[in-house]
Amino acid sequence: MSRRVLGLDRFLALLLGLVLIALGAAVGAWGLGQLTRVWASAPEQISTAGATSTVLEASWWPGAAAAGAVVLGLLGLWWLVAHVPRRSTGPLRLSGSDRSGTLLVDGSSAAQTAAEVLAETPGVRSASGRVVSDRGQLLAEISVTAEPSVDLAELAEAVERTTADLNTVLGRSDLRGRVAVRIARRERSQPRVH
Amino acid sequence: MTTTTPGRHAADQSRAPLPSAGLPTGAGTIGWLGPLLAVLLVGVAVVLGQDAWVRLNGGTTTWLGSAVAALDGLSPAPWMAAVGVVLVLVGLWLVLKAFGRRKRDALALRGSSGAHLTTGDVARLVTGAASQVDGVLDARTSASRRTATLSITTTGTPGADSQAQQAAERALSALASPPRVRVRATTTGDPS
Repeated sequence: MSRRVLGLDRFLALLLGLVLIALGAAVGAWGLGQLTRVWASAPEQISTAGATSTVLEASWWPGAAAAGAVVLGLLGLWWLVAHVPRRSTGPLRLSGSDRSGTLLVDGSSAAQTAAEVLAETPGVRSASGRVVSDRGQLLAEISVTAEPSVDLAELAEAVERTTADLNTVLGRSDLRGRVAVRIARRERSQPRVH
Repeated sequence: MTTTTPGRHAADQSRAPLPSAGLPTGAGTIGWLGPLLAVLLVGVAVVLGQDAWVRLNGGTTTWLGSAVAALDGLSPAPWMAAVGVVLVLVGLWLVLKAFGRRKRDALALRGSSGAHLTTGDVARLVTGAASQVDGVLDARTSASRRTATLSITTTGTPGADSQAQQAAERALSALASPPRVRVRATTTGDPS
C-alpha cells in the first residue's frame, strides 16, 4: 500500500468523522428541542415533500444520479484497488550489462536460494525468500521460521552471512534486505544427532 | 536474455552486508478502515445508480426515494439524542483513527542485516527458553517492545524463577535492544 493511498484514507476518515460529529450533535440537539438555541429557525418538523418534487422527480434527476453513480462508483473502485499492493518485480539487470548483452537475474530465485541456505542453520524450521518492490524500494524479503529454542545470536550471524552473499550475487546498490524471523508456537520434536 | 540462478555458495568476493530496509510498520486500524470507506463509497454509488435505473425505466419506488419519504413528517423525539450520541462517538473514533500511529511491533536483531522479530515472536522465544528450565511446569509470556512479562508456574524448586529469568534474558540477548524481562512466579497449589 502506498503512502499516498494511506494519506487519502486518513484524510477521508477525518472528514467523515467530522461530518458525523456535526450531524450527530445536530440530530441529538434537535431531538431534545435544543437546536433552536443555535439555529433560531430550526424546523419543528422535517418535510421532504418539497425536495422530492423539486429534485427526485425533476426531469434532470435520473441523468444526474446516473452520472453521479458512475463517477462515485469508479472513484470507489479505484480507491479500493489502490489498496492492493503491487509488489512483483521482473528480472533484475546485473552490473556488467552493456550494449553487447544484458545480464539479467531472477532476483526471487536468488533470494529463495539464500533462504534455503538459511534453513540449514540449526534451529531453523523453514525459510523462504523473494525480491519485491515495496514503496519504491527494491527489497529482498526473507521469512525464516525458527524453533522456540533457536540460538538467536547464531541465527543473526547466519542471516548476516547469507544476506551478504545475496548482496554479492545480485550486486545491486539499490537492493535492501528485510528478514522476518518468526518463532514457531511449539518445538517440533525431531531426531537429534549429538 | 539470460536468466541465471546463482549457486548455493556465492562468490566470496567483497561480501558487503546487504543494507537493511528498516523495520516494517503495520498500518494499524487505518489499514482496514480505508478499504471499508472505499466499499461504502461504492455503496453510495449503487444507491444512486439504482435510483437512476428505476426512474429511467419509468418506475417511481426507489431506495433513495423511500428513505427520503420515511424522513417526511419527523418531529423531535428524545430517542434522537441516543442516535446523535452514537453518531458523535463513531465520528470521534474515526477522527482518532485518522490520526492514529502506525503499528510498530518489530524488534531488530543485532547486526546490519535488517532481521527482526515481532513482539509475539519474542514472547514465544521467552516462553520456549523458560520452559527448558528445571522446575518450570508452565510458562506464558506477553511482550511489548520494552518489556517481556513472563508468568511461570513452578514446582517450588528454589531459584527456578531467577533461572527462568536468566534463560529468557540469554534467549533475547541477540536483539539490538532486548526488552526487560519481568518474571511472575506461582507455585503449584498456590492459592494465588
